[in-house]
Amino acid sequence: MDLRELNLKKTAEDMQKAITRDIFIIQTIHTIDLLIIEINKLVSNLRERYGYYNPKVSRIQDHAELLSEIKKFRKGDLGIDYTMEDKGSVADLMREIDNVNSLKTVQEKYLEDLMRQECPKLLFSAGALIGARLVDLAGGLKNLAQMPSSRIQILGAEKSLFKHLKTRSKPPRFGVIFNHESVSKADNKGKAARHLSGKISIDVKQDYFGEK
Amino acid sequence: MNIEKTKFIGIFEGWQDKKRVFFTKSIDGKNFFNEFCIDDYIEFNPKRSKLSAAIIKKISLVPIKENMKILYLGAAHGYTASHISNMIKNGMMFCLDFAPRVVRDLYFICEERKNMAPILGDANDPDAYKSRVEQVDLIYQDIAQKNQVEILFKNLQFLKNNGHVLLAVKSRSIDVTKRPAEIFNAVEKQLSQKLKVIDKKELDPFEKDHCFFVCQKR
Repeated sequence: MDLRELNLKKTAEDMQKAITRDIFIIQTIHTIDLLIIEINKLVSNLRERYGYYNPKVSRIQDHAELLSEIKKFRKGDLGIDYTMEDKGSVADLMREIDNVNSLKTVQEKYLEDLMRQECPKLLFSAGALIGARLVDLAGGLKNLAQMPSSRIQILGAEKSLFKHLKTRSKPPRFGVIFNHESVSKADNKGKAARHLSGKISIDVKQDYFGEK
Repeated sequence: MNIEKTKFIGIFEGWQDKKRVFFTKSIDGKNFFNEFCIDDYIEFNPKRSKLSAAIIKKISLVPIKENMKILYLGAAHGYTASHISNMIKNGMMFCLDFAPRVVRDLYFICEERKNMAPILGDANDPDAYKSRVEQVDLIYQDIAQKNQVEILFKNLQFLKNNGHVLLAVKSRSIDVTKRPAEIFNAVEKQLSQKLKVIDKKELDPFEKDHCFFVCQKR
């Protein structure tokens, strides 16, 4: 067998071996991020389209509340008349938003199941979304397990970290772990971020290197 | 557009809207990346390939010839690799990359080209793929790593005497805090321990903070 064929065969085998299940976590969190952007865009579009019919309702900030109010189709003060076709078109858009919303819920549930199998301790300490974002930024569960906790603390704050290295501005205190309750609601956020990243670091090491 | 030969073997040029465009001639008529093409001549885009950017910046030597054996470290999706494959014709090129995802794309190109062989491996660890490569005439290295030159030195065992090295250095991956010119000088000094540096060119504006080196083994 000549060298080219040997390499082709060996590479095909290596490629299949090299792929682990944590790539599904990364891909699912990408899907969820896309769906969140999609929902925000569609809802703001719907808000504009409904705004002429009932201006007061379109000022509601909360998405769920807004959607449930729009479903009632009650004409408000300052509103103009919509024909049946106008209302139908808006209702179609609203149905689509519901569909995307339910798709997002299904994906989130799948992500949680996946993480319960692959990294149960990370799921417990960081939660599904933040844990998955950390895995994504690190480029895999193995890379995340080999990271020091101080690096986990600032994952997702690369822009401000490099700004610090170049211009000696203040270093970042937290990256994506800021979205965790224990950090965003704490009084001393830097300390809470340090604490949480330490916990995550220990847990993900147990997940990857420990017995399953 | 008139396509003419350049002083480098296997690379052709033409002028379009007062812009110089480079081409290589596809050996089997295939155009893997849907580039602009005229008959079998396929555009060699300087924004996608550091070799093409170096040629546009008037590098003095591109030591790629027909029937050469090449070791390509950091082949990625295989854009530059597919063009080098056009130039070497009946030679052989070993394309190495580290990430399984990009090797998947590379694999399908290698399947169709008789002169390319893929390897999934880490350039840091030549012993792992030692048995799968031959002695080569040229090493092309395009990996953005901090210890890039060390990795090159480890792989010099595969290079024949008087063989050439083409090296693309990304200063940002070595140290973000220093000025690129400082880093390029340090790299040149380090390279000249084992190699003779023939030419170097910075690749602005096609690639930011990159430098392209042509070296020869002593």
